[in-house]
Amino acid sequence: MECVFGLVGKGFAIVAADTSAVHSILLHKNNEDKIMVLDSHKLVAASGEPGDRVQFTEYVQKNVSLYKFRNGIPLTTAAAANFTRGELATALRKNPYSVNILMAGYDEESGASLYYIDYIATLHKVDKGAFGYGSYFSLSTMDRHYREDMSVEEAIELVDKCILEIRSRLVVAPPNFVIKIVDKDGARDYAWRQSVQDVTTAAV
Amino acid sequence: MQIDAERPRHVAPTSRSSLRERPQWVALRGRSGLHFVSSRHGNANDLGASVWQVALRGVSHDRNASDLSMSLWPGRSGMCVTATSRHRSGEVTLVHMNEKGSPTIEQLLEAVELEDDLMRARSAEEVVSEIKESRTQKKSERKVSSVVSNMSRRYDSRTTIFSPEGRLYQVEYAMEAIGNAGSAIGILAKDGVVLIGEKKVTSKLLQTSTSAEKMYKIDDHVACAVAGIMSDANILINTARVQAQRYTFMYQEPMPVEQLVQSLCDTKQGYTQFGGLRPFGVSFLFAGWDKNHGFQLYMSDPSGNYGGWKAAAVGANNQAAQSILKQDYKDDASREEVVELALKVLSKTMDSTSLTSEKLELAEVFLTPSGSVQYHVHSPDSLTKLLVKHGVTQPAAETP
Repeated sequence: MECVFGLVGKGFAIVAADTSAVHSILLHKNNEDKIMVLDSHKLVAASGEPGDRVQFTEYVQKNVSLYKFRNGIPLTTAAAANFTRGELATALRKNPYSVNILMAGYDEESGASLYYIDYIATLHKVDKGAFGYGSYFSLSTMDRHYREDMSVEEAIELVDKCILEIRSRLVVAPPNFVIKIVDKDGARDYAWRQSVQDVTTAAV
Repeated sequence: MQIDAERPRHVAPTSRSSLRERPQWVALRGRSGLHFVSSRHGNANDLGASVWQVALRGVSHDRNASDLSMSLWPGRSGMCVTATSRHRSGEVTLVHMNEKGSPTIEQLLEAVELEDDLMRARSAEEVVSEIKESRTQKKSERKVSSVVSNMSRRYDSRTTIFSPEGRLYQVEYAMEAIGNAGSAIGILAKDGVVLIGEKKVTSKLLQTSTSAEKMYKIDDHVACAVAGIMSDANILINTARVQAQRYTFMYQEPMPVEQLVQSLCDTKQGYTQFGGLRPFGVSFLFAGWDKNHGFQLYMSDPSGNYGGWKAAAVGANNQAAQSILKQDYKDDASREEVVELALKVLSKTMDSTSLTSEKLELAEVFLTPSGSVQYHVHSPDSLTKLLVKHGVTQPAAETP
């Protein structure tokens, strides 16, 4: 039900995630931001158990900050991804975190990168990746249309195609998505794609 | 008013005082010749409130109490006192008396001027009578009449306490141990770092191909030169290696050099603060390269302090070497120039008369054309050639 996907373009990386907070058959809210800004030039899009998701991503975020304060230099995306994977691996045979992560970042030396980290500490550096039921649709769509070094506009076109596919073909498709981008200017919100908004009715 | 705080000569007394009564009169001598004499009434605990009459050799007295603070401690044969002035603190020797009899201040002063070889408590009467005796004797036959207790030794035995002057003696003694070890010099060049060490263990029987004495590789991009106790160094080198690999395991990147040095120094600091274990008697010179700061040279000592240096020396004659380096070091020198400088400095500061390749270890850290970090230890042949080339080799004295 949770859909997270992302891809790397020319000098940037984009991640998109659905924004539903679900508990069994109840939708708590449909504007839950699941893409965390890890530091100035890193994004972490996470899906999975809601408690674990927040707990683990905040843990990684604080450790990344601590490194920067201790050592005066930020971690590279690769180092942060490997650190995250290591933490998941350590916890795996004790108290595993049920969290899947797509980590996108921009480094001066190596440009934009995307890392696929799943809940059993698999780590892959990828050009495009996805998690959840939506991955069946978004990966196929990206496989069909993805090219190296796409511009931002082309990449957003592809992201919208994926969202359309998920909305039309996934039976429990989430209504709303958030898209975030990271490039040399930093990590930031790009857009929201909302088909359902919370309506507040006036008291009668 | 300066008081020398030299290292005391005598072993510290550790048992409680054999005195039955609190002393009333206390006469003290500072090591550099200052004399503190006080007349004190009442409780031993309110020493600080007294007005001290200070007798300096050749200088007038009557200093203000606010200039001095005293602490009273029990020693084996009497009370020990430590004096701290506004300027510096010092260990003092102590003349110890009980309340029977009250010698004049002049007599007390005379008493402390005598040699202090014995350590035993004396009554004031004994002291006074001894002074009378000594007046009739030749100076060389004067007996001891003061009790010596050396405060600093009280603070030697445990690393985890400060002395009253705020020093950690065990750490300082560790640094002394390194001052006797073979020297090592590290110098930063534009395109690398050069480490050179003086080997103290030279014997034809030593298997030089399998044993290294001064230089060790910590990781692919960091190496170190060692001065001090070798067995301590081995432990720390292993710790550094483990820390470097742990970092690489976690982040899949080489550990930045400063972080490695910092982490090792944190370990060393632990041995100066808790656990009751002695500090490591080793100083390191770390040479390495990372993508953040390029080539770097760090020096660390037993206290756990470290600093980044352009050129540094540890071990025997390190101050002489450091001052020569200060004059002769040039920024952005090439590796060849730096090797020459290192050899010259070492030849000037080494004790031995002849400089041969057996007595030296020379290593360089640099980047290969492909961009990877290389740590290269010179072979004895290569070293001999360099010594000849730079004109620093001196032939051993010929025996007829």
